[in-house]
This record gives sequence, C-alpha cells and structure tokens, in this order.
Amino acid sequence: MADTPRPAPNDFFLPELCSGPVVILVILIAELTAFMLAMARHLPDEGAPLWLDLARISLFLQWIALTSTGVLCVARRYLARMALMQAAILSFMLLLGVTLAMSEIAYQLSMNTGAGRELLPASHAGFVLRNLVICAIVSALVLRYFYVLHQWKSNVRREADARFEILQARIRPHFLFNSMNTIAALIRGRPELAERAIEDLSDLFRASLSDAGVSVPLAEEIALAKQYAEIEALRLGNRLKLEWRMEGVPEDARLPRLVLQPLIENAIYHGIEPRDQGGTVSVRGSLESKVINIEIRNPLPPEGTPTRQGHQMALDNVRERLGLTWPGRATLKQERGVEEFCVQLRFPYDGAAA
Amino acid sequence: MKVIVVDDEAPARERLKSLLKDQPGVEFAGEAANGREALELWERSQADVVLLDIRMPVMEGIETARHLAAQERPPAVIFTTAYSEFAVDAFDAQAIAYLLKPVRAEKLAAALASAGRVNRVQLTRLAASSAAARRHICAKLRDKLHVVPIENVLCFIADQKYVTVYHTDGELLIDESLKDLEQEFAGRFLRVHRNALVALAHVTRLEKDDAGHLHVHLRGHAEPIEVSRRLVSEVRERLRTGH
Repeated sequence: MADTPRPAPNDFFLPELCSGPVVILVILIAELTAFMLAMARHLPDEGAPLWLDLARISLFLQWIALTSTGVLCVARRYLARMALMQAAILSFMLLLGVTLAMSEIAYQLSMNTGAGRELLPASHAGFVLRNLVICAIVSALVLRYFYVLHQWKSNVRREADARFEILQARIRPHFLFNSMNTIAALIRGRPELAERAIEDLSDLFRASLSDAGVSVPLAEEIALAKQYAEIEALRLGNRLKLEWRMEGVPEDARLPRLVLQPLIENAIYHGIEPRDQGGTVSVRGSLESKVINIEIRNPLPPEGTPTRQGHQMALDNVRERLGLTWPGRATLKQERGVEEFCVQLRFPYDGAAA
Repeated sequence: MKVIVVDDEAPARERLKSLLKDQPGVEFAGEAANGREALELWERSQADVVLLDIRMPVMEGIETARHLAAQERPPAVIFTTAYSEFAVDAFDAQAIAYLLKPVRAEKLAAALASAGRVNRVQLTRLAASSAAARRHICAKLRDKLHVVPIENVLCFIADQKYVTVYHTDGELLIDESLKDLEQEFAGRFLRVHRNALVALAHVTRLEKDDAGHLHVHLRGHAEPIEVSRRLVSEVRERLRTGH
C-alpha cells in the first residue's frame, strides 16, 4: 500500500520510547537528576570532589534510566491497550520495579567486590528505600510530562482535523441552486439527463460530506471532477469545453479528497461563466521524479468584468489542506498570463502501490 | 402582459418559459442570453415585464435594469437569482421584486401580479443606489436603442443641454451630466476641459497648436480636443502615469 498522507494518530500518552529523540530526552532527564542529587549530597569541605560523585551517580542513574526505557518500550504495546489510569499506574510500578532491582544489584555487587563501598550507606534497606522514593518522584514528573505533551499534541491534531472538515465542506451555494434549477428544467423535457445530473450531484455531495482528511486515489478525484464538469456542461451548454491530458500520471497516486475539483470549479466560475463565448479549460498532468504536477488553465474573463468574489478563497482553501497533508512538500501556484490564468498543483508521489 | 426572459443558461430559460406557459394572461415575447441582447429584445418587443438573471456575461442584470430604468416607458423588472447573496440584498430588497431559482410557479404568479407595482421610482432608486460603474452607455438614436461598451467610448463632450458620446462606431446623445459621468468612470476618463472627458485608453498624443493651446488627440476621433489652461499640468501628469 502507498502511504496514506496522514498516518493514523498514535493514541497513547507514552511516546515511542525506542526512538532516538526520546532516548536522548531520557538521558538528559537522568543526567539532570544526577546533577541535582550530587549537588545536594556534596559538602564543600569534605570527602570526594563533586565531579567524582557526579560520575558515580550518573553511572547508576543512566543505568536505571536506560533499563527503564527498554522495559517500557517493550511493555508499551501491552500498556497501550489498557485504560489510561491502569496503564499509568502500571508504568509507574514498572519504573519502581526497575529501580528496586538495580539498587539491589548495585548493593550486592558493591558488597561482594568491595568497589565503591564507601559511597553506600551502612543500611541496606535505607539505600533501597531512598532510591525508590527518588525514583517515584522523578517517574511521576516524567510520566506527567509525557501525558501533558500527548494531550497538547492531540488537541493540535483535533484542531487541524476540524479545520480540514470546515475547509472541505465549502460548496458554492450558487452551484447548488443553479444545478437544482437545471435539473428542474430538464425533468420535463429530458428526464434521462436530469437523472444523470442528480447522480453526479449526489456523488459530489457524498465526497464533500465524507470523512475529512481521508486520501483518495487520483483516478477517483479525476472522476469526481469530471462529474462536476458534466453538471456544469448541462448549464453552460457549448460555452464550456474541457480538455483532459492526464496520460503518464499514476492513477494510484493519493491525495486529499476535493483538491482537483475545486480548481476546475474555479476555472469554470471565473474563466468560462463571465465569457459570452465561453472557452476551454485544460487540465494537464505529468510525473516528474516523484512529484506529480497538474496544471489547470482557463481563459481570462473579458476586460472590465467585475471581479467575482471567492477566487482567492478557493485557492487558499486547497493550499491550506495541501499544507496540512504534506507540510512544505506540496505547492499550489497561480499565474495570470496575457490570455489565460494558470494554476499549478504539485504534490509528492510516494511510488506505486505494492 | 408581454414577458421576456433573460438568462445566460439555456436550461434556466427553458424552465421559465415552461412556467410562463401555465400563467394565464401572459404572452411570452422572447428570450435573451445577456443584458445587451435583452435591451435590444425589449426594444423590439416592448415587453411589459422582464425576468432578469443577475449574473450574466457581457452585461449583468443590475446594469441592464439601470438601462431599462432610464427608458421613457420602463418595463417592470423581476430579478431571478440562484442565491440571494449580494446584489439584491445590497439594494433595498423591499423595492425590488426578485425570485429565487428554481422558481416556484406560485411565486412567479405572485411576482407577475404585482409587477405593475414595481414602478419607475423603484427602478430609479436602484439605479441611484448602485455604486458600481456601468460597463455600457445606452441611448436612443433615431428611435433605436444603442448600447455601446464603455471601452469603445472615445470621449464625452457637453453642450448646453446634452452630452454627446463619441464612440468607435459613431455618436450618441445622452441626458446625463458630465460631472456624474466623471465620477462614475473616474479611472477610465479624464477631464480635460469644462465640457470634455476623454478616454485615457484612446489618447494618442498631446500637441500644442499654433496659438499655443494644448490639444489631446484621440485614436479614431478626427478633431483634437482642447485642454483648458488650468488643467494642463494635471492632464500631463495623468497621461504620464497612465491612470
């Protein structure tokens, strides 16, 4: 399968722990904790110098931190299936468990080999208990941090989804009512055309009411744009001519729904409708090293035509959705030539479906 | 009652035609695909009512209504529109009859019944309240209505009573003030004299005659037009910058 442009959100508060950035974050947290502990323990006038103390504490803490990360990384997929509270408590227990085990191992090692014995307190239980309390505090903070981060990220995502839906749902009321009017006119004289117009209109509305943010194959989007053009052709008669040249564009390329259709709609609305003699809207597609390039051209409205509203709005709408789908990797350029207006859409193609 | 239908979309005209067929006392008197055709059709048919789409190429509905309103015996106008967003709302909706597409037979009947009451005063108010500049000049010449696209107008020259419109295919007399025209077409026409406005796009050159008076020469207009002394610097400046 080709990648869907928007991967399903990973809905668990713990991030993927075995990934580089997260491991670095964990190391940093452990190191800062070690530094804090070393500073707190250090008495200026006696014992080992600060850096020696820091080195030993760091070694011990990193050991615990990295083992914990490994354990949680493995446990994550089981935890992700649990209720949030359960998963949080279990993660917390796991962290305490690792600390307990590591403290015990360190104590036994030190006692048996004699290495670093002067660092350990006389009381075995006191040593383990202190470590557990420190671990509990730091773990609670870190887990809380991950939780809040996750909440914030999913809020951002929800907002983007909502915006996406609003952007997609915008159908020109003029188009709707004009189409209804056309159908009303056709029903008596040419019922079979009226029937087809209703089918096309239904498909168009189904697309605009469907799940936002879902990607569709380019072939589907082209079919939808053609259905749209059929409806417009009924209305505009021979004033509207369409020229499709999409050979060489992979039809399995995926893109967000309703990206192409609004561009065609725009071309007809601003380029064809105001012209007495109409004109040709041409759509050309090509594939250039993993980038799909689609150009839509329409003649300019006659000089002096009052500018119709909503031109920029429709383009901005598509542009924004492209940005939400492929941040920085898709473009929509517009260019006003001497005789025609050209919109150029470019978006990445991730290769043929397996 | 003679009714004509104006809409750029054939199916929309078909539908209104078939609805009109069912209306008692209504005679369908023709159809037009844009405002310019509509004015010609109206003149030929002398229709009592014009069913007028608002958004059309060449000449849109509001402007068409303004030209119709300026006629001696203006017809009643009923606007038809797919969606009541801009135009109609922008004016006093109470004063203007309009129907939403797809038009219902009952609403059409009601609008036709009250069409006579949409009188000249209301249409004149519409004309006055429209802020947009017209794209055509419309006038009668030897009993025939002429519609000239504004880009074909070379200049407006005022005499005592009328303003003469010189355009690429001849001339027309209109009953409007030069001051109003200057305001309406401010970006397109330039005042060069107390009694003259010239189209910037048609100016070919500025030239001094033997007496030292500056004249504007226009493409397609034999007679150069004198620039009044107090306007010379402004005219030079506007022609230099081109707007």
